[in-house]
Amino acid sequence: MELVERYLQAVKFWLPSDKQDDIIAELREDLRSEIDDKESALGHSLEKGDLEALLKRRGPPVVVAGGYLPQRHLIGPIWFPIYWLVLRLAIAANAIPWLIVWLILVLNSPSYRSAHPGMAIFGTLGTFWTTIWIQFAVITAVFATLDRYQTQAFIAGWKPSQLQPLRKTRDRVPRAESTVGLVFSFVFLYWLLSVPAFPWMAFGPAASFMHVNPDLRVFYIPIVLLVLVGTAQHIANLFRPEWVWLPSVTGLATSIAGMMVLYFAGRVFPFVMLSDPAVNQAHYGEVVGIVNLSLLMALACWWLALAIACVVCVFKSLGHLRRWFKRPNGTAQGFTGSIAEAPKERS
Amino acid sequence: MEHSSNQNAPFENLRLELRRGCLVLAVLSALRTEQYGYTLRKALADQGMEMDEGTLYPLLRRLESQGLLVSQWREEQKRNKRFYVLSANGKLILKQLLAEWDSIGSSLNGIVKETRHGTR
Repeated sequence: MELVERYLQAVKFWLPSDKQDDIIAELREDLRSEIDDKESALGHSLEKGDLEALLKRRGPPVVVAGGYLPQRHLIGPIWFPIYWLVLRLAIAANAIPWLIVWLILVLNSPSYRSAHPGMAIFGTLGTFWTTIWIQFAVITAVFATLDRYQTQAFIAGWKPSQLQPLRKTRDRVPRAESTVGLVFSFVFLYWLLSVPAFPWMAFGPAASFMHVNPDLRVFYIPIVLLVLVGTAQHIANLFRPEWVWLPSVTGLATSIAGMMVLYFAGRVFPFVMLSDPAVNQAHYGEVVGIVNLSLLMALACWWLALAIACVVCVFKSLGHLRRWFKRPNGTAQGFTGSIAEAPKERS
Repeated sequence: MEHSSNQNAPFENLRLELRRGCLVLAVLSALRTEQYGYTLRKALADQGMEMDEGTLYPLLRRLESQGLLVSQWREEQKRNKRFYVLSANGKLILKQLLAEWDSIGSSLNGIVKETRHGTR
């Protein structure tokens, strides 16, 4: 019987103090009645194993006590979907750029690696986890407060007229979008391929006294390749508009590659130089300085834009991937099958 | 084995959900005569309405706090037991619930009959 008392003591711990004794007395009586019944059926006292089995069937003390407590939640069903969405967006928006920067530093910065030798490099991820936990805690606290104080106002303030207009399901990439994208890609590609032969196309009249830093030439082919990938995507979508997943997948790949190119290109400073410093320094030295500074800021903004595009493309790609797996026959065969059927539906 | 238990999980959840709605009616009906927890649980089990103590006792307290049951501690066979019985309000609510039960039952019978004919 000591085991029963220990069980009841454990249940009592979780009960509200004003009801503890009453509930425990009733539970004790119920347990005794059950034990009496079993003993009279068996014709002998219950063994320790029998008692353990009986208590095991009743469940852990905290669960038994939980049945007597009011239902509680930190964030209820009204706010939870919004909370979950915000949490995922906030953590992804923080985690992905953070990890990309960390990876670039680890792979590319010898001084960073030497400052954190060996496995200590993973110790630098500590800041990452701290940031994630702080984000998690702040968002959870905000939504718990909203759940407690704003739920009624939220329900009362809801108006059907404020509902979003119907979204058109994007089952194909509009040909107009692919055509415009293709035209811009061709124009940009033409400009990019012409600049080495005709520098004035980049610098205008300033081409007479400044030129691109020769160290940047190594990035020329990767940039051309990235533009070609984008062009190929527009061509593919022009003929296969049902490949709605292609823009986000290509966008993700080119954004990541573009961020890497920009990162390494950003380290080659200055970006432009005077063609004949001895002659032009006095007149144009300051202009070149301003151009370099402007280019550095433009690169930083472009890198940030690519990071945002990267996050957007990750979400879109995951959405396509999820829809693909949720297909009734979500296999590669099912995928090509649906593509093959799409043109028939159009006709 | 795990696969088959996974397959049964939706049925088991729905079965429990279906039974949960009937528990209040079963308990109120059984407490037209005074009983203490353990005998009530056995009486329900004998009628095919098994209910674990973790569900029964909190339910009894909830029904008592809603004024549908009254309880008192009393000694029986040299042991203190808490006896429950329907209150006056409980009797009225039980009557209304039984009428509702009959109404749901007849509606559901009609629907189920049509479904059964349709699926044959």
